[in-house]
Amino acid sequence: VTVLRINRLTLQGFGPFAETQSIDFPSERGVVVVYGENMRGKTSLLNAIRFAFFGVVLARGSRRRRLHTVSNRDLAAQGIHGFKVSLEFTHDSTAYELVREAVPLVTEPHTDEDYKLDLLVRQGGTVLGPYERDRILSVAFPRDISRFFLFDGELLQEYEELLLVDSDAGRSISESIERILGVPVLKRGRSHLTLLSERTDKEAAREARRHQETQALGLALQEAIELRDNHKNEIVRLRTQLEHLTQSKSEIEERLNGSRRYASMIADLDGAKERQAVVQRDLQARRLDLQRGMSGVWRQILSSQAISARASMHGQIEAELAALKLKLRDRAIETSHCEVCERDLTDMEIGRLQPSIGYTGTDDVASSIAKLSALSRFQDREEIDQIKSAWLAIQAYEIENVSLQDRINDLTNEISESDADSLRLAQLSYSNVIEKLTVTRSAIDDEQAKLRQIEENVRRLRTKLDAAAPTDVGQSRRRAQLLKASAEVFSAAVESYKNDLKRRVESTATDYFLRMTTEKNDYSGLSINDSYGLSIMHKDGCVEDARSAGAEHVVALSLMGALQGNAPLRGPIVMDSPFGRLDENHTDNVIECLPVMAEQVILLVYEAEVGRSRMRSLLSSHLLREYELVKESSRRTRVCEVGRGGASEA
Amino acid sequence: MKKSEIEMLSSRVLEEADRLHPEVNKDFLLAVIEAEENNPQDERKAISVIEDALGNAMNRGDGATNQ
Repeated sequence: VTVLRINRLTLQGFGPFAETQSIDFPSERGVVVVYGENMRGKTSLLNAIRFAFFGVVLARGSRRRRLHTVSNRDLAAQGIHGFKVSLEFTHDSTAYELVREAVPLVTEPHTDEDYKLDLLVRQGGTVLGPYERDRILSVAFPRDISRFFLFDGELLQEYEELLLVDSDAGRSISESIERILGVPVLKRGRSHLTLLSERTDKEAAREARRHQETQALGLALQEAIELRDNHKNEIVRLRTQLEHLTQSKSEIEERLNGSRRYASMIADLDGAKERQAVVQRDLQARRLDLQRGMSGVWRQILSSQAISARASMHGQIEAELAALKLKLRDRAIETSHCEVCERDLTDMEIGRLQPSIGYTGTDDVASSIAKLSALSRFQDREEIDQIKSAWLAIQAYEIENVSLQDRINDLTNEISESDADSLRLAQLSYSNVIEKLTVTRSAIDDEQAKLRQIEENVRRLRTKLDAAAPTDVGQSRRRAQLLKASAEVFSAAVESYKNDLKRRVESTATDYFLRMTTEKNDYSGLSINDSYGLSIMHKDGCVEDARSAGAEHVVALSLMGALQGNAPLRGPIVMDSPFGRLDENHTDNVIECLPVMAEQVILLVYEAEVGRSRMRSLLSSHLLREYELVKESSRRTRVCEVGRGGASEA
Repeated sequence: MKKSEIEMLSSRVLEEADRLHPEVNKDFLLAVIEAEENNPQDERKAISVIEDALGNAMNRGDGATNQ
C-alpha cells in the first residue's frame, strides 16, 4: 500500500512554465516519464514538488534558490512576479490538495523577504486549519526524508559519504535514513521515558527529605540529581554549540568551494585572455597574408581570357622562333659567316644550307616570352590556395576570438560578483572552527564521563533509599523503577530494531544491486556498515575498493530502493536526469528495475539519456504515461502528453 | 506509519521487555509506542499521554508490573 501518491501537479509562473500547466499521474503502479531537453524545465518540475511540500527551491549543491529567480522570466520582464504550485496527493487513501503560492509584496522583488508564501491544504473541499495542515504535511512527507523521494544524479553522489567515518554529511544522511525507517518512534519513547524517570527521581528525593529516617538520603539524592541535571544541561549546551559549529563549518566549506571556484575562474580568465592574445596576433598575420594575396586576385577574374591569350602567345612564339631560325640561315649564306657559331663557313657548308623563302616575322621573341610569362601569373594555383587558406584561417580565428571574448565577459561578470575578501576571510576562519569543534567534542566527552559517575552515584542512593523508604516514598520509587526499566527496554529495542533494519536494508539493496549491475558474475552483493553505507562485495569475499562513478550510482539507487522497501513511510520516487553516469547496459537494468523499486516513479529525462522507443521497450506495460516539455521560447515551456503517435497538449 | 510497521516496533519492544524486564507492564509499553506514533511533532502531548498511561498502570491492582 502506498502511503503517499501524487495525483496531479499544476504550475503557474514557475520557472519556464509561464501559463498554467498540469501533469496528471495515473493511479496505477508504474512509471511516468517526462522528456525534456536541457533548459526545458525538468529540474523545475522536481523543484515544484519540493516547493509545494516544503516552500523551498534548490539549486546545484543543494543550495536554496532565491524566490525571485524562480519566477518565470518572461512574465517578470512584463512586471508579473510570483508563482503558484498546486499538488493533489493521496495520503493513506485520503485525498488532499496542497496549494503554495509565492506572492510578491513589492513591485520589483529582489529578495525572499519581498515575497510572502501562502499555504493552503484542502481535504474534500474543506480548508484545513494551520495545526491540522502542518500535521498532515509533516506526517505525509517529512522534509528530512525527502532526499529519498526527490533526487537527481548530484544527490545520489552524496551517498558515498556514508562509507566515510566521521563525515558530517554521512552522519546527517544516516539520521535521515533512521528517520525514514521509523527508528525515531523508539528513540523518542526512550528519551521521554528517561525524562519522566528523572522527574520521578526528583519527586522521590523530595518526599524522602520529608521523612526523618530518609532525610539525609533524600538530600544526598536531590543534590546528586541537581548535579546530574547541571551536567546534562552542559552537555545540551555543548551539543547545541557543536551543531552551530558544524553548521558554520559547512557554510565555510561552501564558501571555500566558492573560493576554489573563484581561483579556477581567475585561472580560466587568464587562460582565455592569453589565448585571445595569440588568436588576435595570428588573425592579424593572416589578414596581412590575405591582403597581399588579394592585391593580385583581379587576375583570377581574367583567367579564361589569359588562357586563350597564352595559347595564342605560344603559337606566336613558335612561329617567331622558326622565322628567326630561317633568318639566321639566310644571313649565314649571304655573309658566309655563322652568327650562332661565330665562325666563317666553307663553301661546302654553305652548299648544304638550302635557301629559304625568307624571314617575315618580327624580331621581338624576347618580348613575346615576357608577355607569356606575365600571362602565366593569371593561373598561379599556389597563390589562390594561399588566399583560400588565409581566408579559412581568418574565419576560424574570428569565431574563436568571439567565443573567447564571450567567455572572458562571463568570467569577468562572475568574478566581479564574488567577494574575494570574504573568501579569504573564510579560509582564515575555517581552521578556527575546526579547532573549536575539536575542543567542543572533547568537552562533551569529559562531561559524559562525569555524568556516568554521577548517575552511578544516583543509582546507589536510589538503592539505599528503596531499602529505607516508607510506603509513599516506595510508591514514587516504583514509578521511577518502572520508567527506568521501560527506558532500558526501549533503548535495547532501538539497537535491535536498527540491527534488524540494517540486515533487511542490506538484503533488499543486494537484490536491487544484483538486478542492476552488469557485473553479476563477479559480485556477490552489498555489505552494510553502521552508517548504512554500502560496500560492494566481490565473490571472492573481498570488498571492491575501486568503485567507478557508475557503480556508486547503482549502489545509491539500490539503497534508495531498499529504503523504500523497508520504510514505514512510502511514496513516489521522482528522479531528475539520473542516468548521466551510467553506461547503456546499466541504464537498461536500472530502468527495468524502477517499477519494482516504488509504487509510483516519475522519471525526468532527456532523450539522449534514453530514447522513447528504448524506454517503451524496457518499461513495457509499466510505462503509464509520457509527457514532453516542448520549447515555446527560451523562457517558456509547454507540457504535452505524448501519445504513441506523437505529442499533444497536456 | 502503517499498522504492520507499528506491530513490528511493538513486537520488538515486547521481545526486549521479556528479555530484560519481564516484570514491566506490557500495556504500558504499547501505550508509549502509540503516544509517540500519534504525536510525532508534539513532544509535550506525547509525554502527557505517557504519564496518563503510567498513572493507569500504577492504579491497576498489579501496580506497574506484570508480577
